[in-house]
Amino acid sequence: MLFLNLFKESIHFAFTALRVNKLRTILSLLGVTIGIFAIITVFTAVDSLEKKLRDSVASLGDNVIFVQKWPWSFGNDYPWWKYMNRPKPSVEELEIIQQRVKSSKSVAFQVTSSRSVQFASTTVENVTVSGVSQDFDKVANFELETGRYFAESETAGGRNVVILGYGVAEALFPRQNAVGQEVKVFGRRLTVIGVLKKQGESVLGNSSDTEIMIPVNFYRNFADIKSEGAQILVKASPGVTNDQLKDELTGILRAARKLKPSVEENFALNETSLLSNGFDGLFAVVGLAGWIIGGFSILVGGFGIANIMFVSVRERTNQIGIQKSLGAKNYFILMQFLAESIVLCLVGGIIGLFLVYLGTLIAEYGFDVSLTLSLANIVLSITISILIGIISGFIPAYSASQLDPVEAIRMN
Amino acid sequence: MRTIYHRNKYLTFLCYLGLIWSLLSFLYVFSPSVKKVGIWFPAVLGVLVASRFISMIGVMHMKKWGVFLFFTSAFLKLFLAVMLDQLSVLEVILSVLIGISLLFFFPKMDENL
Repeated sequence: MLFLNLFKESIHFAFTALRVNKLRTILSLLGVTIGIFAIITVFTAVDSLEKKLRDSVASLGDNVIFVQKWPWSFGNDYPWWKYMNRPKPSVEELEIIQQRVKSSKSVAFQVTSSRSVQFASTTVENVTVSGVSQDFDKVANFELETGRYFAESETAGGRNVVILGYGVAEALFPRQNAVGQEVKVFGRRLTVIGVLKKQGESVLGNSSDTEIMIPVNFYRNFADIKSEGAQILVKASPGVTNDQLKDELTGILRAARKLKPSVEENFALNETSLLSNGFDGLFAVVGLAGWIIGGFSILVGGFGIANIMFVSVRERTNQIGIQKSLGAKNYFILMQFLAESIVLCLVGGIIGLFLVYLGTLIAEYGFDVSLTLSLANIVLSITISILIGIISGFIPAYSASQLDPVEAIRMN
Repeated sequence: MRTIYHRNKYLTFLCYLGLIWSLLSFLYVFSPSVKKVGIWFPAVLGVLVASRFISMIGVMHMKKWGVFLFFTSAFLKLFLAVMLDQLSVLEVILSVLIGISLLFFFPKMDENL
């Protein structure tokens, strides 16, 4: 109880001291504010981008292997000339994989291109048109808002039916149900049988909101299905690792393409972990840069606080002497100045945190960029503020507590 | 009668080394790699770093509580590092070196706060 009273009194002393020297207080806590602002801004931006990326990668499916012409890779030494003349995955290869693969029960073909979609006098341009095979719904992660997925007879027969992405449906049918309506793609009329659920923005640019799906057998009548956007998606069965599935697919595709043992593979087996691993390095560098810049700002801010605390001790030496002569213990004097330093840094940190929060609001409402100030970052900034308060305030506080009362009273 | 012992140059050097080490460790507290371990880990590590800094101030003033605080914080930090498999050889060497030297000067230190 006595300790709590002393602590309360120390806090009161601290606030009084800070109120008396407003300008000096503001100037000295600026360093901590800027440091916290720099570190937490970078951490918030990196965390938010990382979360978005993970969500986008998860939407592709983390147990799916993509058979493609080009491997997913990052860096400057990408030997693109080696991949130029590779054949593209085909529907025939899809059928071979479906017949031979044992580690998967869901295999699908997808080919994409960019087209316009029209309804009455409204046209939506640059829509990703996906020609998909029957099992695509079992391989890709998407949900339907209304309507249904393709029936087997529709995909096999190449019927003129379409599933619209949420954004496309909103643009073409703002106040009415899209299912049952007819839209024009490739100059042909297609009946809308379903609308996908809203996905939102995707860091990888693969949001289903701006996509439409049609049966691949319909797609092949109007566009080349051996285009660059062709891929075969193979989902691993439960209990099968991606590596096991890749080994099996390698054997099947090498046999299908009649590749001799000494010849290098002419296909790429990609998986989503390649994407997240590629971005991990980038986020690590950005995080490190923010940490170094912010870290040194905070250290400099801490020196500023230490300096101002030394001045404060010097100014109040007489007062310390009187307090000690009236019976104040060393630890009370120590706590009094330490509390002042912690409060000073905490106020600076909270202002920095508030500025970050303000920044996230501006980013969200002004630029439509979603940034989230996480609990981990709030805890981190408060921790840093308290610690820098302790570290920078301890030496002045301890020297104040060690003053001799007689000499302290005498000092001018 | 009260005898006051002044610290020698070797101890002064160790104190400065410890203070610089604490300040550099303070930067490590909010590094992205520490943050990844858990929400509260930077706070726990920060308290240990601050304790080490304070212990060095105590040793500079030839106080016994500085030595006690140094051993407590060093032991807890090493324990935490072992638990999280993040033990650094430099950290162990510095802790042992400073710890042994402090024990050597311990009998001459002041018991008061």
